[in-house]
Amino acid sequence: MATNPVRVPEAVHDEVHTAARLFGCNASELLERAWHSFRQSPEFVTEFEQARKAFSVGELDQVASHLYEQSAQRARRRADSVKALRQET
Amino acid sequence: MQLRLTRRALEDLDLPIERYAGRPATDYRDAHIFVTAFVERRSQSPRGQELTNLPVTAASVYNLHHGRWRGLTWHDEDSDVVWLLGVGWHESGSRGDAYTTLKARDLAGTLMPDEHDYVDLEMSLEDAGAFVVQVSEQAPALVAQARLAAGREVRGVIAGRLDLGVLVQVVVVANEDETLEEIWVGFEMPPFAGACELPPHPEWIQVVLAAMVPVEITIADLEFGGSFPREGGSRPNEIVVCWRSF
Repeated sequence: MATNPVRVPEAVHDEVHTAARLFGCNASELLERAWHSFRQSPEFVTEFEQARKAFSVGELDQVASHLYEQSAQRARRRADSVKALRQET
Repeated sequence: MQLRLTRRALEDLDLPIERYAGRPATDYRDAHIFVTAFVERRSQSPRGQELTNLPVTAASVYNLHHGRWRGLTWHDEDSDVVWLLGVGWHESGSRGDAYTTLKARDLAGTLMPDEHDYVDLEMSLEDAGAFVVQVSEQAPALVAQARLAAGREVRGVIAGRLDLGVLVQVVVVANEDETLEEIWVGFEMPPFAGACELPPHPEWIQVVLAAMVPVEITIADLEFGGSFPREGGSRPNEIVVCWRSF
């Protein structure tokens, strides 16, 4: 078992510990199960699978467009988080 | 950490947006005396010494002086960028004074970086295309080379920036007439500077892996982490991925 700690937000830490008590396991077992579930989730799988299929059939423009779209989304998210700093009364 | 001017700051200094907006200020530090001052001071420390309270935005914004020029800078820690937000000419008491103008922009919501500024941080579609083409040629070639040299780590550089080690191990499955191919990839971190634009991490890793992994392997079959099977194991900060196929 690795000994390096993984830092998570305090709220997640508290919730995982509470949920582990409810499920009758320890927090590390619960996190392990959560990770395995996430590995199977569409969120984790889809983007990679799309890129891999596109490479396999030579659709390089599709991979590039997808990368570009991800960039645009990130730019929007960042701009929104700056807007959220405004404290208008 | 990057030093950047917002589009509005470029306008303030009469610098052409189309020429400079997508580039770090270190690339054009000599284009204006205030850009030089910005690069010199904020590359030493992302924060200044004189904190300015903005009327609306809850951000730690610092004054930057050079002669009669005045500017405001903000260390955007999430993006690891120090922004020069705007610049003006200081005349105390004047309605056109730099700080009065810049604070008025904050009230109007035009001081802080906007979506255009953040798009400028990202790679263009053209750059993304060039990166993907290089990956599509170089990543599978590296795996093919490692197959020919099975049992030995083969190193290569992808897109002039990504230093990778690939090792193919052929494992004979006991009691079966089959062999298992185990492929280890180690991404050296951080990437080399220069050469070409890279998508941010971890997108470039996903793209390189997508170009290497055969279609029958799903992402669920990939193992992340583990010790790269070389003498001394994985290197500090190296990102190691492994998959197996018959």
